[in-house]
Amino acid sequence: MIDGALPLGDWQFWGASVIAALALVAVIRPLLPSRRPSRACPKCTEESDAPAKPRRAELTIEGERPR
Amino acid sequence: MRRPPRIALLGNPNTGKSTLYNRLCGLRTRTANFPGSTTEHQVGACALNAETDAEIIDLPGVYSLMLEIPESRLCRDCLEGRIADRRPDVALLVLDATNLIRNLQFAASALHREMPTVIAINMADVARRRGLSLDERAASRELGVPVIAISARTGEGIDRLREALALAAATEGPRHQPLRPLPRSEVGSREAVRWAADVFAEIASHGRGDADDTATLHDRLDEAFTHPIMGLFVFAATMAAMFGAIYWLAQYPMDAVDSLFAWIGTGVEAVMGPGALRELLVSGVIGGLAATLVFLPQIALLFFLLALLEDSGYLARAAFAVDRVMRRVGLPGQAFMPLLSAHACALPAIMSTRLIPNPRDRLATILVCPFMSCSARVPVYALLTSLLFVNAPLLAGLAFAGCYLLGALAAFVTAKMLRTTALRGPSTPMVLELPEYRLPSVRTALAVAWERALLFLRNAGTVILSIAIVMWWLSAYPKSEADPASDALRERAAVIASSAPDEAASLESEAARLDERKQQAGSFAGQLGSALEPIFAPMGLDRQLTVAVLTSFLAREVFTTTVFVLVGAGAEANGEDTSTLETVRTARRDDGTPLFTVPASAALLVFYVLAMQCLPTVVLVARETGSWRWALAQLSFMSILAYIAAFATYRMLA
Amino acid sequence: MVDGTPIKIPLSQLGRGQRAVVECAALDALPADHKCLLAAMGLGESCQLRVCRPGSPCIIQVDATRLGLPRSLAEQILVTPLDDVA
Repeated sequence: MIDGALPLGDWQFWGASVIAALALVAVIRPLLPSRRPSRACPKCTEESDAPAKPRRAELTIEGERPR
Repeated sequence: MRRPPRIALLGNPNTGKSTLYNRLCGLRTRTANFPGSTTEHQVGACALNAETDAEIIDLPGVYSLMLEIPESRLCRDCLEGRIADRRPDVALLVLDATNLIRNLQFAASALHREMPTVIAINMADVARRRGLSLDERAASRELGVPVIAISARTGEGIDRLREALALAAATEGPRHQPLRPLPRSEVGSREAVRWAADVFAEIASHGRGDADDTATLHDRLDEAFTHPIMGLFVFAATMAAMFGAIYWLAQYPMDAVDSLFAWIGTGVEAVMGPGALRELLVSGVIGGLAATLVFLPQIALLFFLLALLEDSGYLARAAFAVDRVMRRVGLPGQAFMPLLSAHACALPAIMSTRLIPNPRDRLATILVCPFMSCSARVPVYALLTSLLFVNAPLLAGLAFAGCYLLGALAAFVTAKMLRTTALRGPSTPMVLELPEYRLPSVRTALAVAWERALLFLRNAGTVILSIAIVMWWLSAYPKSEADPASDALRERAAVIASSAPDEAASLESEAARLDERKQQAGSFAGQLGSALEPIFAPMGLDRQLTVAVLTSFLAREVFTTTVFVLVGAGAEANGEDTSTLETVRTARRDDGTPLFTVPASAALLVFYVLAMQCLPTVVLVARETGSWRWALAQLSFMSILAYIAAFATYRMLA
Repeated sequence: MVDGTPIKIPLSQLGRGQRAVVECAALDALPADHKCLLAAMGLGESCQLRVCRPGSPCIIQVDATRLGLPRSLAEQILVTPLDDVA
């Protein structure tokens, strides 16, 4: 960060930066995985008691996921 | 509060299910993703009567519930309650009155499920014109469920259908039994055909109607539309007319969107005092909204016209005409619809690949869709071809068309490569029902266009707007001090203000432009551009163009806005405005040489044809293929191909 | 007919306007998923069809359904031509 180049004393700067940060979250969120695996069972999800939900899309080639 | 009854709408393809769905639900429709389902569904709200609103799930058209294809499985899952953990309360079967023997067999397989069912025999008006009369009461007795003859197109019988659905949803207890036992074997078996013929004989009778000369006419039309040479010619002419109509018609709403947002921006600037929030609003929010909404007219128009062509029955024939060509590059005939729609936007195009039954074919189509030049590339092509061919609109137009051809060529070559390497394997031969030729329904086409437009807004709109806001912030900070040269210009302007006001104004503008340029160079975005400039220098790009290209990797729409800001034309500048073009054409690099040289402009043009620059598309590909590997492989391949091609172009012309 | 036995020929050999009956087990040569789909679309055993357009695609009419098939499939479907109908 460059000294004196960010108008830290300007409340509008902070307002605009918060909005920009929210926008950045909106950009990044679709790229993040929807569930995190637990350490005990890397292939399980947090809802491991529920029946396994199929993936959003099933695209396989002869029953196998494509390479 | 009692939850609204859920109605599952199902039937064979080409029975007018979608027309009926739109007739029942109108605009009260949304796309939902139920737990337990791997696809999205259209779900609508329909008022059955004054007290009852029902939820209608539009299921895909299937020839049989027992086929091992995703669409049939989906229908079975829905009817058996595996979607959203709830069985539908009522099954609404749509049969085609002009093809009853086959449709009755489908009805029998659905009736085996023993759930409250209402049957709508659609196209009753067409059947009547052909001299076929239907006895609804006899049909209800035979099948053991309410049967209503309707015309979804004209609205005939719809009110009675609503009443029947309300009654079916409210009635509990044992159902009526069909008059004769339902066939046990599958649709198409001898038992099922015989059963259907017997039922048909009881419920329908032939009388006098319009003479059926249509078979010969249909044969002739089919011959023309599927002919190896004539069929392709008709297809090419139809597509040329369609795209010509889109670009001609869309310019009016696009200009309106541009003007509206320019007016809003001016209004905001007048009302709000200067500061970061006003800049954010004008350049980030309003600019981002404008960048999103400006493409809606083209997208909506393309899907409207495609829906009309499909409803007319022509597109199924066109699929066979292009199948021969597509097979040579390893793509199925069914891929031509997604590839066509990708010219508006790759997002709905990729979603429509679900209709391609073979997984390899589908994957190959998904991976090459982004090569088709979408609406977002149009402003980039327009700007760069105008810069390349100054005062030569014909050549600029030819170059424009050349970009489309280059994209299609890259798509076909890549498809061929994929099908001989990573996706090697046999294709599924295309078997298609050829629906009857008919006058297309404008109402249905409007509903399709509306749905696709909403899909685009939902998937891309928020992302593009967010990117515009983030890019504004990265370009606005950190703040730089004024350029010393601009101070000198301002001093000179002050001196000559009274004696030569025009020249003074010109000096002020130049001073503002120098300050803007210094601000851009010193901002986070500019510093990133400087850091990565060596990578793009072989393509002929400088720091400024590197920033423009980098920012457009998330959404190509951002390129022209970034360029206008960089050269001081303003973010709301219009690429067709001659003064803006002149500003861009005369813009300079840091070393004083022209920014847009011929080799650099040509290299940029080739880059934008081939590069994958759409974050929403990358995300959707990952979702549809079930793996980030394919999405990232596609992104990498297209980026590398674009880079190499742009580099080669620059070197050839430099 | 030869010796009273109906001749079975591939669908791809029929000409424009010719009618035929799809024979029993005529579709058995096809992969199972094609057979089921074609049957569900109306092209089942003992059904009568009319050739609207020979070649590729082979367009046939079965009752009120008009189907387009690739020649490769039409070559695998055996039919018994009916007497020529004007």
